[in-house]
Amino acid sequence: MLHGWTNNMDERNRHIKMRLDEQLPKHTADPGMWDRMSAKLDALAAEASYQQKLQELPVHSPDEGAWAVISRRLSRAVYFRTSIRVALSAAAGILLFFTVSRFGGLTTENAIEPNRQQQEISANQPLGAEKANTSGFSQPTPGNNNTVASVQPSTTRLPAAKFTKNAGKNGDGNHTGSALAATPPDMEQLNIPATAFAETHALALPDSAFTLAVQTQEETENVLKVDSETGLTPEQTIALANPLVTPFNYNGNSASESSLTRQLLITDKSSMPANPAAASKANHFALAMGYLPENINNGTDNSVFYNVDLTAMYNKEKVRFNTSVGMAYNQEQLEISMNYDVKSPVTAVGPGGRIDTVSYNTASLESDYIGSEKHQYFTYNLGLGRRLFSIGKFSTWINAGAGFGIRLNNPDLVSTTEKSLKAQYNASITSVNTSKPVYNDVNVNFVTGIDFNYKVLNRLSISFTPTSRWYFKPVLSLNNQPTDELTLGFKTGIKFEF
Amino acid sequence: MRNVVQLITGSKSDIERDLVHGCLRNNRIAQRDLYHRYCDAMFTIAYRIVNNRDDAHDALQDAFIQVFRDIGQYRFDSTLGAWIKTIVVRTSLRLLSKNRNLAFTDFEEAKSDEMILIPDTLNSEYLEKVILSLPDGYRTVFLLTEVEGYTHEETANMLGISTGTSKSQLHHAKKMLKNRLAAWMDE
Repeated sequence: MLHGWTNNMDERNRHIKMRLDEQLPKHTADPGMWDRMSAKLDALAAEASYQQKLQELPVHSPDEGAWAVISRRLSRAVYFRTSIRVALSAAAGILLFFTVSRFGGLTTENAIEPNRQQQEISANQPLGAEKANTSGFSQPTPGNNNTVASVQPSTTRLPAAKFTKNAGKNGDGNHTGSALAATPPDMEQLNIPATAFAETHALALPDSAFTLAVQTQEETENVLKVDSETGLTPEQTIALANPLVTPFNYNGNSASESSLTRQLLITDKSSMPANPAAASKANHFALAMGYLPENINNGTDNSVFYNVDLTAMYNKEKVRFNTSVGMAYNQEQLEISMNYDVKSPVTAVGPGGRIDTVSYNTASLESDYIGSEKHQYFTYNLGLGRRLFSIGKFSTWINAGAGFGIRLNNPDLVSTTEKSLKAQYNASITSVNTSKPVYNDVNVNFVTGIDFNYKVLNRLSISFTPTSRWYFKPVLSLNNQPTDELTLGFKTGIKFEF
Repeated sequence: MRNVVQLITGSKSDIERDLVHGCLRNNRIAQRDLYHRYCDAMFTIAYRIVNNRDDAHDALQDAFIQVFRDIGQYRFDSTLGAWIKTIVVRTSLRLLSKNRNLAFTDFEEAKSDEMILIPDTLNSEYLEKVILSLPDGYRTVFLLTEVEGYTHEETANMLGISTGTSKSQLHHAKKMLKNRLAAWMDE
């Protein structure tokens, strides 16, 4: 109805519209408009084509061996970094060793107690042997008095003149005996200083020293070549000038040494090493307990790991092998910020007084929690030690080895809190914010330390060990990066030697 | 195996994340995958900048060594490819300036942009040859702005020149390119 009326109106006014159209001015587009538009379109097309062509520029591939070269360079870089670290560690160790060794001119040889050594040596020698070595010319045995120049084992200070006289009386057919018997005047002229024979109780030789008693003609001649001023043979002079000659060289080179030389070398203050019996005592087992607090960066702060271990070690003179098992644990306080939604039911009393849940209200909440996690690791260490020096009851060792740790438990405060929230409030966790690092299941480290021991009792000693650990596989990681690779700590412990 | 499955099924960002984490652990397989993923594109960039295959190989090696060394610095705030490309470009530019005296003449800044008409029949290999025949200064600015899509500020920063110099270099590079292409069309 309305539509028809409108059409009628248009029809009726058409002539008015036409008249107005004729009266209004006419406009035409600029004749160059299309050209400009065309040019613009051409430019756009050209630009598109240009960009297209640039995108279609050929792609080049590197040669096949390029990755191999990069891979090799990567390996070299890793080896180089590792080598640098090892070299620096070794250099530091050597530097420390020399510093400590040079401190006060200490050496391991000097560190041996002379008095104790001599007592040990004497304790293992028969009395007769001691006395025989007092003379230095023969080895007396009860059944062999006639084979060697006789010895007077009755005194601790035995003048050479008396000795030679006795030898002359009792020698019967033995090389040594004859030679000595034939030369009493010469021997008297030797005039060997009394100090060379001092404290005969300290002189001792192993049983095998008997063979030394058999002297050659050459030795006898050497004995006779005495210096007119000092009264010493050339060998004696050399021997006196060389305090490092010991009863061990003495045994091993008996054929080229004169008995007098041997005799001259043996004094109260000689620097003789332990005899075989004493050396065997140096090889022994020991058990030690240690405690090492270790600071490990956890990404935001330091976390203290307490290491306790039991170490079994086998000492072989200056070297020792040790292996230990133990536990490491830490207790770390964590702050967790947790966002969660809690749904609370909206209830209404329905027909018959029954309460129905009509809908739920959702409340977004944020809570901060503080708690602590205790992480435990089983640890195992394997290493070697080298004695640097020892003075009396004090000794120092340098240790190096490998350590392993295996995680025993996995406390997770975050998931525990999440579960608790879900169970208590029927909450849904929206976000968790914590800076907790990842505790790796296994850690591997290279451990070094300098062990300072002090013997408090005969078999019991206490130790203090500055220790460094370089972790190949770290204890803690954050964003897949180790939080701490090198740790330092001070280990204390006690050791019992068997 | 898990990585392989993720590489097949995962999204691009997941794959990149896995590759980055693998490289952080010095996993050689992840490093190789990352290399093979980007080696062609990066070699092409290096080759166009240094204009020599041997030098491009050197630049590519140096760049990837740096990528694997510094991958911990990648913060996922741009695409991995863009991050690697920046390293490759910088390494290539360093090599180029070391081997040749890379000089930029400071022209008066161009008033208008130079339009280049490239006929459809033009072979892309030939176009690349023409681009590579440009002088080093022109070529590097042209490649960085027109081909790689860096802004003049970024280009100027990488080349150690002013933004104005970058713009004028581009203008002259385009002019030269246009003339050389016109010469080709005339032939």
